[in-house]
Amino acid sequence: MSLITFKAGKLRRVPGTKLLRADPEKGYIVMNRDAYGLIHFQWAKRNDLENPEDDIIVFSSECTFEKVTECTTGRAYMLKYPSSAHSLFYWMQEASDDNDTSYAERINSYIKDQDLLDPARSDVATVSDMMEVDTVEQSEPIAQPTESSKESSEIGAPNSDEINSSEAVRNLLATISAQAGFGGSTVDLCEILKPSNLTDLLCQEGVIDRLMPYMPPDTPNNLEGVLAIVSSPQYAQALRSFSQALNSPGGVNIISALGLSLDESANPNEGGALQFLKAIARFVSRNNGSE
Amino acid sequence: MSWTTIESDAGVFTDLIENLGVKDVEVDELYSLDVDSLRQFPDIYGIIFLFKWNSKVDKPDGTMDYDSMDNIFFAKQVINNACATQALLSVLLNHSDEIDLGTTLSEFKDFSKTLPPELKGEALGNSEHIRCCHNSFARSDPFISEEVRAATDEDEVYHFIAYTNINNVFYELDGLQAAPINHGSCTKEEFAEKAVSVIQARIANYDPAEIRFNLMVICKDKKASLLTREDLTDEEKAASIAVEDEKRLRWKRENQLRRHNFVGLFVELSKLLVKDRIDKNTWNSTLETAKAKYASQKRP
Repeated sequence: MSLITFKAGKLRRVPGTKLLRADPEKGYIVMNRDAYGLIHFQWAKRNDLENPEDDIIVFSSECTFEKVTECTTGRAYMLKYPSSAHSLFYWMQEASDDNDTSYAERINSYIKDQDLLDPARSDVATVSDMMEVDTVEQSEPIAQPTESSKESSEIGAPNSDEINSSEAVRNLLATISAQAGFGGSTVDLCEILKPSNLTDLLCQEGVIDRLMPYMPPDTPNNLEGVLAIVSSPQYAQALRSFSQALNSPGGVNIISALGLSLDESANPNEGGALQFLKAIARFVSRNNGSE
Repeated sequence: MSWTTIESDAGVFTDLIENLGVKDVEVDELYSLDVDSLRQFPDIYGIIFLFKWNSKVDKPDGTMDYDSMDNIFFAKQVINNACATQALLSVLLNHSDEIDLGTTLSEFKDFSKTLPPELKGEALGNSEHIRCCHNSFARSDPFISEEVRAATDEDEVYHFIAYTNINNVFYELDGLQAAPINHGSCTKEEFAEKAVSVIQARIANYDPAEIRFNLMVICKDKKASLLTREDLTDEEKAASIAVEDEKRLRWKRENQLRRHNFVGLFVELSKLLVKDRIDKNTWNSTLETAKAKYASQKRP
């Protein structure tokens, strides 16, 4: 889901110099929140929105989007990292400059107002996204808390937001190494949806018909056909990784992605697979009369 | 431009090379490393040894044969997840005189012929068509990435080595080594004996408790070669062909299931199961049992 999209181009460094030159290529700056709740800042060519050239996960208050005041001949902006020389530069391509300031303000509010500090949200990232954070870290030191607070203390007293968000990033990264498994209370879906739990159910009238649309192609429309599927190693393997994904940090976001409603008051110590089943239970209780 | 991990399975590999355009070749699992088992296969082009890779004990047994690289397809491993495909190609491309490679691989072979091993690996990594065929076997599992698999399931980190006879020399082609490894001269007839002794020596380098490995044979399509056998009666042929047909059907179905996205089924099954158990008043106990089981597995 896109938060903001507007026309902008890139400023590229002239090799071997400190000069920046506007690239005439037409593009978009896009910000969006991904399925795991992470905020992305992207720049993509206008004919290739699917493959953004820049795709940076921005963390709360780690960077700002600012007008480049040194540039007097055009409308240049930068995604500025106080702790690094790796800032990214863009130029506005909207016909009029009426909205430039408000675009910048909106970008800054999206960067700043992420509720990463909220414990319920502090684990909003799956391992795959963690890896991405890790990679980003190498080129853009956005995830180096110590350096960022040191740098800002030279400018002035570090503001508390900055320290807290750095903490949040550190905590996020710490969860990668602590990937051994989910510590709180949860279940393994393999235990719930194992074939021996399903045989009685599958014998009930109408159940096979309800399941057929979700079966692999060419599955016979009968009990044997469905039993063969739920007993297959491929079913077990897919179920195992689905369960692991739900129980991974940020896995709860999968539940809403599946169109199920999350319990806002859910205990954050409950893993995604348990919350998934609770969301299913709420769903079937609500729809009990209508089926 | 990423290569996904694919399952090490005979049915997956056979389908993969067929999708690449190779004709009348199949990959079969070798369950026992002995001469008799190997002799069961018609026209073996090569063997792939896949094992959980451990750099500490990974020293080659034969001699590095740098001169051979002018005449052999040997690629350095550049893309880790492509190593299964790379091992398959290491056997297939070195037998283009006996195998109909199809357009894609013939072109790739011609194109990469003069490149040094690093660039051959690079060219393989960049081949759009080969990558697409390879990636089509990734599980259609929207919630998990290859990184997650690598992180949670260390046992999946396998390395692939190809063993094959080229111009009457037994070669070991390992993309992590600097050059093909020459294990001495070997005729077609001696291949089974040679392969058993070389691979057994290799396995002996590892702690038997540590190593997990698999062997795959790349050979002529069994059904096609059965049809040309003159020493079998029609009944014997028909029976053997029926076995091969059944195996092909099973592989086809397994690949179909591998490509299926099961998440919709999990959601629907959960709805039906949870509703049934709520109605029967057994849902809470089901859930508590599963929670207790998860907790006990956490603390062994």
